[in-house]
Amino acid sequence: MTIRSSYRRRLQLWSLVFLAPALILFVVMTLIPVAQAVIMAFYSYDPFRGNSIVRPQFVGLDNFATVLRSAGFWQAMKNTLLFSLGVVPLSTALTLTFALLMQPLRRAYQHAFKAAFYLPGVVSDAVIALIWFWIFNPTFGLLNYFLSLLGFGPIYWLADETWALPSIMLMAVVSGWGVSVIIFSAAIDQIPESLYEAAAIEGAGSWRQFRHITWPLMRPAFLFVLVIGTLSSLQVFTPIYLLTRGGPNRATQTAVYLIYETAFEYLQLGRAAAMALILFVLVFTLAFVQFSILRPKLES
Amino acid sequence: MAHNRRVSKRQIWLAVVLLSPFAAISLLPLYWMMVSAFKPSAAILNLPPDWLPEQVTLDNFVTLLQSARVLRWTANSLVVASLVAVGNIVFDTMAGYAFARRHSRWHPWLFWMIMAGMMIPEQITMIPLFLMMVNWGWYNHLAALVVPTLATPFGIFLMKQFIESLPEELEAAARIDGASEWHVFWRVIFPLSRPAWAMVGLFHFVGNWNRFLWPLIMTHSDDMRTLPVGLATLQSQYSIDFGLLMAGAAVTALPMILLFFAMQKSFYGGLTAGSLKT
Repeated sequence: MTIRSSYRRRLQLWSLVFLAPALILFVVMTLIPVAQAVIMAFYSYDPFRGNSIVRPQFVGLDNFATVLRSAGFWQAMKNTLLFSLGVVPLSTALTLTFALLMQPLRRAYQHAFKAAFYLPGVVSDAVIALIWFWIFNPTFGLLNYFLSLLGFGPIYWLADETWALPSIMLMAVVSGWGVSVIIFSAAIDQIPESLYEAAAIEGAGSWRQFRHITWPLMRPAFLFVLVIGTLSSLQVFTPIYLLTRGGPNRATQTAVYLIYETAFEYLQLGRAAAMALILFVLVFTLAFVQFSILRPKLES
Repeated sequence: MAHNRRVSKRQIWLAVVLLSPFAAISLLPLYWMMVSAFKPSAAILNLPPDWLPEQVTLDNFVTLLQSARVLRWTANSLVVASLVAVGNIVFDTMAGYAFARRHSRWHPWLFWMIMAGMMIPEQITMIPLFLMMVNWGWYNHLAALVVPTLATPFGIFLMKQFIESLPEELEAAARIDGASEWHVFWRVIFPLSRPAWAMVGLFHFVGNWNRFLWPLIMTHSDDMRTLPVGLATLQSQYSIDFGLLMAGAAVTALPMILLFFAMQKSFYGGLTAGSLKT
């Protein structure tokens, strides 16, 4: 063996040492659980059928069949999609507008606005949800107080089937918009000033500057915000748990809340695993679709 | 930096006028939490609301200390968040270094496998992981909140990106001086990558301090709760006492708010690091 190859060998061995902790954690805490989740979806842990956490029973595709036939699951899927469809486009449009409006301001103002939009995002979503728990209170909450100032009667935000999901969507938009404001602002800051100067010399107005400079160069950030927003909104859990527990009458039952309830309140672990897999396929498909629609235009 | 582009005064005023109400909406809930936490219970439900407390009191915090194990929850949160942050600083930097230098042809392959793990949502792994923790005797134990997240794909990704930008000559020079690989890492790579791992540590600290679903599942005794989960138990026990609830919320939120104001640049840096490279 030459000196060179023994040196290479030594480097390879050492890199394995450096990788070991991360790799072991990845295998034990992600890879194996994913495989187990797939297996669990084919077993029943139903305590009412004589099975349990310690004595699961193989049931084939039963869990998938039960889940796909249950009205509750489809209701949860519908609510989850509605939530996402309401929150993501609204939040993306608002934050893009905020970032564009902020751009001409002085540094100090920009910093102040960025901090204002981002601050709710550094706080636990449990804290945010509990503050809104009060704001939504029909008798003592700020929201109905403001409505009364405008001459409107009280709305039972979380107890009314029509209002419950939109209420949580409102909360999600106004407390979760910080991240995209920061990302959009950073993307705008990276656009070279000279492009705008050149465009101005050629007589391009602000709409054409936006259309042909700002927008194309912000596309990667836009894609990122859209995908991240979709992924996280499809997994909404904490506000549902703290504000409505999926109610009233399942109006705010979302996919992850249903999975939580099925697994950890009804102890139907197999059925919950099947739900999680179905949700994963849905989420992955949506992310993929967004990517393939927006991605090809990035290169042009 | 697009400031010197000529903008009219009117345009600036318009922007400020349009943005301010939204900024106010963004801050109002947190402001409401802070002022309410210091209000006496007689005034807490006043409508029209007292936007500034007429009388400032620590009553809510005293009640919180007496009726809830809030000190224990704070200690739990601190321990969990710190250990996860330190674990990720060490393990993500080590892995990021190995992946950045690619001494084996397997490395890119392993790297993408770990990155694919980022795509796996929590609700897939949480059920098997819950059973695994139960089997290991880690149910209702802080280890279950710490160990599974000691290294993460996000942190490994950021560290790899950063270390790739460090010149390899620095390591080569240290090796010629007779430093062992262990020393090369700890004396050269680790100190140089401090800006990146500080950000990774900060993100994991904040994320785990705020985490809700996993600690909710993995703990059941009052003593093992972290702050957000303990706070949720306050809601079900004392649902009417908004002052107490806001005091608990303030205790949970305030450390992160202070951290944010102390390290704004790092917060923003971590957010944009992933997005601008696409």
